[in-house]
Amino acid sequence: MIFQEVLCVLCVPCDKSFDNTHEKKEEANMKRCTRFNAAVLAGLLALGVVSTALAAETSGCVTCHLDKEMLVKNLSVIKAKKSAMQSGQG
Amino acid sequence: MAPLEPQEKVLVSKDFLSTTHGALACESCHGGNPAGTDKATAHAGFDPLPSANNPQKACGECHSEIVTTAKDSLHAMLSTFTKVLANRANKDKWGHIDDARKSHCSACHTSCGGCHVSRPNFAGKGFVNGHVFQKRSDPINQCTACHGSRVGLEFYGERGQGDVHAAKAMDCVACHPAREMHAAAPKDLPGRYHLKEMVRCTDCHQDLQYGSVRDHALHIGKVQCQVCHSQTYVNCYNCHVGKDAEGTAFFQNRREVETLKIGLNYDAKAPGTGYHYMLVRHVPSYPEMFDFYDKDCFTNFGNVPTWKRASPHNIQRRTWQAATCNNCHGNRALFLGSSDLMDYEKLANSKVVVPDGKVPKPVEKTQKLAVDTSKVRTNMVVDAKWLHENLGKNVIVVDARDRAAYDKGHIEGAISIDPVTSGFRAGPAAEKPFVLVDHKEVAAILSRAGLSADDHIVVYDQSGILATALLTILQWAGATNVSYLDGGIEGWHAAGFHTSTKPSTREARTFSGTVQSALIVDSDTLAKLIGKPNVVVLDARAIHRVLSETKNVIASRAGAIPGSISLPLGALIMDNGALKPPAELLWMLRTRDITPDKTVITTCDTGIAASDAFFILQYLGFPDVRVHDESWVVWSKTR
Repeated sequence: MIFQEVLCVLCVPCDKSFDNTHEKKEEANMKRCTRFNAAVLAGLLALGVVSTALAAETSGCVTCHLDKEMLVKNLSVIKAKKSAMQSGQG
Repeated sequence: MAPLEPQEKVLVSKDFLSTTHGALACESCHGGNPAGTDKATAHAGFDPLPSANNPQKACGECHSEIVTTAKDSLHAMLSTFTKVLANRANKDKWGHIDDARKSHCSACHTSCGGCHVSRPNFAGKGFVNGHVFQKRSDPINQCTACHGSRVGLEFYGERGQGDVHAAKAMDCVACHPAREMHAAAPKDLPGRYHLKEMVRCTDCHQDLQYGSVRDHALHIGKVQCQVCHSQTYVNCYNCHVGKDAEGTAFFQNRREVETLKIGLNYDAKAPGTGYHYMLVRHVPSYPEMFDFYDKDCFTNFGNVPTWKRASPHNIQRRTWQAATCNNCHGNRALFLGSSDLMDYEKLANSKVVVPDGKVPKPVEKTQKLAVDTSKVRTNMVVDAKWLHENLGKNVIVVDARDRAAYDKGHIEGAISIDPVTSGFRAGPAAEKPFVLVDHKEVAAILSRAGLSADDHIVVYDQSGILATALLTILQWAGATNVSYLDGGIEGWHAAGFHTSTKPSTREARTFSGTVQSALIVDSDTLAKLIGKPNVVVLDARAIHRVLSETKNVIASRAGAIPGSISLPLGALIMDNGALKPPAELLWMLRTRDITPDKTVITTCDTGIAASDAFFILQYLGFPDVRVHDESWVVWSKTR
C-alpha cells in the first residue's frame, strides 16, 4: 500500500493520492496511472539489476581472484591430485 | 591442451564482471564468506562446483528448462556406464562394484560449469576464460579435455589424418548441439546410442541414396556410415583400476592398439541403426578389472560385448578400405574374427564376430588401384624379426626414447641417444628456437656416441616420433645406411623378444659423414618456393594448429604457412610407431595431391614432426624431399 501511495504521489496524470476513492476515477486516468506504475516498476527493477551488477565487482571474493600475484602467494602449495600410477587418457 | 598454473585456474577476468553472470554476487552461487580477510575464512562454506553439487539452485533458477533435463543427461549421470556394469555384475557384489564405479567411472561426469565455465574436473579444472560463461563449449579446453584419446586425438589428426569436419573448422557443438547435450537420459537406457536425441550423420547428409555417389546407393542400409568413412582408431585393453598407497584412485590402460574392425550389428534396436555391419572398438574392460575392490565382480561378463559399436571421429571422404571394392570385400582381416578375441571375451562378443560366411565376397569386376610401390626404399624400415636375427652383425641399434624409458628396458646392446636432449637442436630461448645446430656439433655428438657415417644404424622408440626425427638428423649429418624399426619397442615386445636393463655404450669414433645441406630449407628459401609449380609444402601439425585454434607456446602467433597442405603426422605413423603398408600411404598422399613427381618440403612447429614426415616420404621413395627445419616458430617471428 505504501508503495502504491508513493507511486500515486509521483503520478502527474492522476494527481491524486492513492486512497479508496481512487478506484472511482475516470477509466482513462486509471489506465494512464497503471501504465505509469508499470514504467516506474520497470525502472526500479532495472535499478535493482544495476545495483546487483555491482555485486560481483564489490564482492570480497574478487579482491583475491582478480589479483594474480595474491593468488600465486596463496596457492604456492599444491597437493598432487592424480596418482603417480595413473596412465592412459579419457 | 596446455596445463594451467594453479593461479591461472582461479583467476577471474575483469571482463567477467560486466557479463550477465557477473551481475550476480559470487556468494550467491558459491557460498563462502566474502567478508573473510584470509583464505580460510573466505572459503568457509564455499562450493567450488555449485552446478555439480546443486544444479537446480545454481543454474535452475534462471535456466530451469535446461537444468530440468540436463541434470539427468549422459554427461551429468553417466547412467549407461552404470547400466553396463550392472549387466556384467555379480549382483551379490554390487556394493563393491558401486564403490569402484564411484572411485573411477564417475570421476568423468561433468556439470553445467564443466561445459560452460571451467575445464571439467577430470581435466584438471580451472577457468577456460576467466570465469566468463561460454554458451558454446570450448572444443580444446572442455570437450576434448575429457574425450581426448578416442575423440580429440583422432578428430584433430594427432592420430590419423584427422576428421574432415575438423578441417572445415567445425567444433564439437556443430554436431552435438544443446538439444542432444542437455537431453535427459531415460533411467533404463541400454546405451548411449539409444538416446533419441543423439546426432546422426543423416541429420545433415540427407537423401544419400538418391545422390550421385553410386556406393551410397549400394551400401545404405547395409553398413554404418563410418565403415567406409573412418580411418584406423585406437582400441584399449585391460584397464586396471586401484588405489595407490595414499588412497588416490588411478587407472592404467595396459595396451592400446590402433586398428579398424568391422563387426556385426548386435544392437539393431538403437534408433537409426538398421544396418548389418558396423565399426567396433575394443573397450578397456576385463573380468578382473575391479579385483582391487573384490574378486569375481563380473561373473556375468559375457552379457555385454567388449567390442562395442564405435563412431570414430576421424571421418574422411575417401578411405583406404573403401578405395576399391576388394580392399573391403573378401578382406577377412578387416572383419572381427574369433582370432581377434581373448578367451575370456568369446561369449561376450558372440553376436559381434563376423563368421567367414558373412564376410562379403570379393567383387570380380572392379577397378584395381594403380599405386606404384616400386620406388619404396624397403631397406629404410626393418621389422623386429629381422633385427633380432641381425643383432650383433654389423648393426648398431639406437634407442631414441628418453633415458628413463631406456633404463626401464631396451633392446640388448642398444645405445641411448635422445634427440631432444642430446644437443642436436638450439634451445627455446635461441634466436631461432629448436633449429638444428651446426653440423660439426652434430657430428661431434654422434662421434662421442660411437657412430660412424657408414654404419648400418637402426633406430627405434615408442611412437616413431623421436626415432624418425633422429634418423633425419643422421641422414642430414651424412649417415648413408639408416633404418627404422617398424613398430618400435612395442612391436619388439609383441614379437616376443626380451629387453635388457643393462646400459650399453660404444667407444668414441669419428663420424665423418658429408653433411647433406640441401635437405634443409630455411624460411627465406621456402618463401621463394611457395607457389612454384611442382612444389608442395606439407604441414605435419595437428589440425587445430593449422586452423589457428591453438598455437605452440613459443610461437609468436597462431597460423599456417600460406599455401601449405595439411597432413598431420599421425596420418603417416601409427600410435605405436608402426607403419601402414606403403601402398596405403602412397594412395593417401595422392588424395592430398602429394605425389613423388613433386618437390615436397615438410614443415611443422619446431622441426620435429617435419623431420618425421621427411623420413617417411624418403622411405616411400619420394626423390626430392626437404625439411623446413625452422618451421612455424621461426616463420611466425618474422612473417
